[in-house]
Amino acid sequence: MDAPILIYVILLLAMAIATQDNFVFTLLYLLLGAFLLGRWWSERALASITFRRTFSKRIFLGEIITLEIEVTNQGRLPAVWVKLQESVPVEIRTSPTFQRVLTLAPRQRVCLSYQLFGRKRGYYNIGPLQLSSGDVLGLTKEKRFEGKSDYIIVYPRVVPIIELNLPSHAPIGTLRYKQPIFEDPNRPTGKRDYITGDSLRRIDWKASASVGRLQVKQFEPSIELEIAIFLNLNNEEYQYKTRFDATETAITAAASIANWAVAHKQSVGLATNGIDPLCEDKITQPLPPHKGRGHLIRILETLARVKTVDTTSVNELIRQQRVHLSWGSTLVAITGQADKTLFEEFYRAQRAGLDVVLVLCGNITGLAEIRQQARQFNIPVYPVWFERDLEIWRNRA
Amino acid sequence: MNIKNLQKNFLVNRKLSFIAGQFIICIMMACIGITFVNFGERMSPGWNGSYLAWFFLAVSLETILSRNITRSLTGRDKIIFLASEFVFIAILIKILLYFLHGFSQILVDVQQWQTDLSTFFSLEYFLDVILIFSTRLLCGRLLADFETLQSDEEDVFNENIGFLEKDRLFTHQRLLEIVLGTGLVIVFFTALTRTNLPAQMGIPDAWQAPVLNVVIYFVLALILLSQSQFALLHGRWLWQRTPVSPALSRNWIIYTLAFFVLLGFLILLLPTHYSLQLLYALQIIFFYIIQIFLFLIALIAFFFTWFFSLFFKGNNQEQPQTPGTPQFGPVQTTPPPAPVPWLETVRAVVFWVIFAAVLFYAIKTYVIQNKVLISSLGRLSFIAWFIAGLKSIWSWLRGVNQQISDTLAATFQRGRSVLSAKTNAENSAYSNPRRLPPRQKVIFYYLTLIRRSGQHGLPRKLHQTPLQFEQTLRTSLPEVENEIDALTDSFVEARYSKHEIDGEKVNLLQEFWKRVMITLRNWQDRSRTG
Amino acid sequence: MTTIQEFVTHITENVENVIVGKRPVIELLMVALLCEGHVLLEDVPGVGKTMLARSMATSLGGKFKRIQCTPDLLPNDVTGVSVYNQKTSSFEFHPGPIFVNIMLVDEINRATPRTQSALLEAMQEQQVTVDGITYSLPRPFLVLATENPIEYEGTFPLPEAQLDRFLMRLSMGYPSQVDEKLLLTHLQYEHPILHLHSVEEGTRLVELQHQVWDIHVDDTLHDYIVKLSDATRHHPDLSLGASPRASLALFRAAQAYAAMKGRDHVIPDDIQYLAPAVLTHRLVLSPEAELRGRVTASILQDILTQVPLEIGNLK
Repeated sequence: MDAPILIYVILLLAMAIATQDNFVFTLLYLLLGAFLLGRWWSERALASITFRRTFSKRIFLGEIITLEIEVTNQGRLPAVWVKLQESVPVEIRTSPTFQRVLTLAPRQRVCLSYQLFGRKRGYYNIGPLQLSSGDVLGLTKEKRFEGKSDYIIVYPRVVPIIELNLPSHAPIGTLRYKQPIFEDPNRPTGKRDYITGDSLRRIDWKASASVGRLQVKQFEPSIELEIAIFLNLNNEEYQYKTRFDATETAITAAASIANWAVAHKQSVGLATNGIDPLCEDKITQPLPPHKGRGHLIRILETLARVKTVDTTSVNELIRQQRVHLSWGSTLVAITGQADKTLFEEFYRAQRAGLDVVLVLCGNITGLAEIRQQARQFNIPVYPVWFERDLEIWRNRA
Repeated sequence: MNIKNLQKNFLVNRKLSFIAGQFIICIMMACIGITFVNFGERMSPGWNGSYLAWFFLAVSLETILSRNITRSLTGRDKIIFLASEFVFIAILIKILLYFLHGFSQILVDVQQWQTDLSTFFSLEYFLDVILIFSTRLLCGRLLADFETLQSDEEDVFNENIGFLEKDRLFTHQRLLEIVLGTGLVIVFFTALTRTNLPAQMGIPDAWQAPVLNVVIYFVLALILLSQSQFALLHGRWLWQRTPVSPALSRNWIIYTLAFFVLLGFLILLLPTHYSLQLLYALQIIFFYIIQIFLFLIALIAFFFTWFFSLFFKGNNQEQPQTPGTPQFGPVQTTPPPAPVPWLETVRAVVFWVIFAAVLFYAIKTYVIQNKVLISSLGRLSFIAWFIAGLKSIWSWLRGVNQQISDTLAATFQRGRSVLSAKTNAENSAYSNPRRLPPRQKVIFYYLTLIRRSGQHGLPRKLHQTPLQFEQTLRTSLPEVENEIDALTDSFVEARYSKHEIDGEKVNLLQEFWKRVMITLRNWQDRSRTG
Repeated sequence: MTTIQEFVTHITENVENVIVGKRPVIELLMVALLCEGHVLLEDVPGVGKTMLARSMATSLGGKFKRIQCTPDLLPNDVTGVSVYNQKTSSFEFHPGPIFVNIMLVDEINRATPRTQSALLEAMQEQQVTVDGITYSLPRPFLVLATENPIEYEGTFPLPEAQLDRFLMRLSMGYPSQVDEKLLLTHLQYEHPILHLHSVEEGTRLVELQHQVWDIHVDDTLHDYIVKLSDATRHHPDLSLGASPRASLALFRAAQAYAAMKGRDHVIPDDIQYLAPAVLTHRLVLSPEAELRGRVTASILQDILTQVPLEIGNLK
């Protein structure tokens, strides 16, 4: 019981006992009743209030969504006043802290809403929603209650890329490829005379009948593309001044490549040395190459969450993870710089049957030397200074 | 401004709110005045002090009117204004007394002015002035505090943030203390007016002075507190730029009124005189404690007096008086109550249950705030046993509360469902089921079952098929499983097939339907009582 | 017991000698048979899809063939090919494996889109045309196509327009522990499929299929089916909802299911039970919904709980 009220109650009680007068009891009940009723009312009313958030938990960069909070008074007592306050991270907030004061009749439901803006990629906690209420006389302290929080993921920006012209060695895929090692029987390009050893299934009987000799169908080669993206988020390997923009561009590049691969029904995987706040020990778990939208969602969620850190170099990451890649896969390294040790690692990867592509993000110094070194290993280099450079690749196909 | 807007804007509109508060404070001052008048009339039976109550009211009004001036004054100017005001009031009181006692008294007072001022500054006049001055100060303080708590948008954005939070809280707390403290004082004096004191004190017998003024004072005090609490919160929300529901001010008034009505209802139920001799026993204990306390004070005073008299022997021939023997037992013994009728017994039981609950609640709060102390005490076994006993009492009380609330809800719900059923029955195509063909009858029984089960707390969800809803009913009404199955299967056949429906089967279904209705009603009663 | 019920029960019990603990799947396959519809089985390897198709065919006394789809499978490998006979100087038609009563097409998503189209066209029209000559397929004719889930390296997932041609999509799922234990006991020695015999004549199926058309469907259920389809077309998370073909498929399947249960009328529970199997694979998520992690099955469940079922009112 609050101390001042307690004193008054005790004094009134003493007077009531001493005087045995009816009206003193009445006043004692009045004061005590006001205190107890007010306290009970505000506690019960607050306990009866429930809320539910409705919103899309995954949004894209730059997207504005509406978050709806449905507040319901489940009890039979009205809530005279209830203050709601919700903490929203500043990166996705569109207005100052969301707060409202409501009055709720019994069983009344109120829908409130506010907007969230995907200003920056990431994984954000929304809430907890703080509810506070009190009695009408101010005789008791305000009661508070914290509801549970939710989360929202802002995907990184995805730039549409039509063709990347990434090489691969795996047989019978879906892209045209110039190395005529494996032919795709679904892509007939013409006919030729039958040679001993040709499969009977490739005989074009109509053509054979019209020419009078056995004719065999010819096919164009195609490839199965498996891509493994190695995203470097080690702070030390980016220039200090442009580090933030360069790493964000790197993440956008990784997301765009993954999106392109999935759209072309190819397998894509992701490995990064950045930290993932949701993972155990904050170490980002590598995602092996797979197909499908579900896998793309996993990649985008990982890219939404990862942060840059001072950690081991991308060389170490490539060394550890390339052993899990199948022969013929394409290794796409996205980083801020490339030195001799990195090219040595690339060479070892090529010897293991992988194709390497280098994507450089940010303000790269010594680009000419890097290109020269890359040419020696026949590694294509794609510098991306700004996100719009990703679209330049379209013209290089 | 129409009534609705008035309601809505009342609390929020600063002027209206402040006028209402002023009005309340005025009436409160008048109530205080009546208390002192009654007390004075008890102490001096021939005295008629009704003029004083009106003077209290007049001074309150004057305080309000002069508030406009005193608000802008500070320091020395304010003191001068107040002093001149007090002198003016003192003169007015004197003039009023002359008016009541006769103006010839002026000549008497003037003649004795230089030799004996006691006739001029009579006890009556002296007490009147003190009371009026105190009231003036009290009224001024309450008005100032109340005004401080009022806020509108301009004030809020002009003020310092720290002042807004801390000082307004402090002001509200002070308002609360003044209002309740003053209330205690008038209760004390009213009790004195109505209680017989020891004959040795030479005070005339008590009389049953009216207490309505005290009750009104407290009710108005609570209303004032409600207003000030709203003002405090509203100011805080304005400063924090928190959007407030437009219905809040209207609902605040409605719910506060409902709060008072509920409070009044509860108070009416509770007994106001002691019962079962227990309060009488408490009274005896209380007086024992008071007597012992007074005896100890007197003993200490005697000791000091005797001690000092040793040093000042010869100067003071008087010996210190020994403290009197304490008189045990209450001075006024209330006769034991007459055998109480059944209603009084019920009210007495309610009183003691609530008393015990409040006591327990206070102890519980104390325990929560002093966990370390309590945990060490709790290691004692009898303390732990005592705590367990209290916990079981509390849970029993909560169960009773739940039963009462469920009964009320069910009664309310039943009333609503009966009303809606009556309305719907008139428009129904199935208003005369006896004349329906068998297929329609079957459909009628089932649809009525759906409707009734919804009214009794087992509604069918719109997407549920009859077989799915059958499971819901079977779970809640296992005793009529077979009947529910039969009704559902028959409905499905009647609704979705082209089979002919047998008339005899329909008669059987009617019996099943009645049984299910009864069971449904019983289920609702059972679920209400838990 | 009605004729249809008897027929279905005999076959189901016979198939259960081989396939343990999958009665609901067997019953749904029987629904497809009675509706002359085809079924897509999407499931992981090794749960008994081939055995199911084979035992079904054996029970019906019909012919059964299995095709393993690979990326180099040509349309002619399915439908058949005209081979030039130099002696007779004419083309001879060699029918493909499609000319059977029950065909199991394993991993249809590994066949190329051209081959898939050829197969699906034959399924739809119940005939194949090779070199201008049309050949009818035998009756009854049921195609059970299996599809590996995308995560398991399927290459050419069926386009949405082609998926619509399948009456229903089922999943067998892993057996329960009890059933799997029973399976080990069952298969300890010789495989029971080797001892399985025909219990019904497949030719009876044609007559029974006609009987299914007579199953009564109340007007309110017509409305309900249409409302369900309409709800899928207007759902914000779906870019493609159920087509009129889907409504018809659900209608027919409900009739067949009611007949199987010995009823001459459809009840709403039939529709709600069959809707996931008949409609889910025809719905296409919008890209945003997909990226937000929604699945068509849960969207359809939401629709089923939102679309009201009119049972009548007292006014």
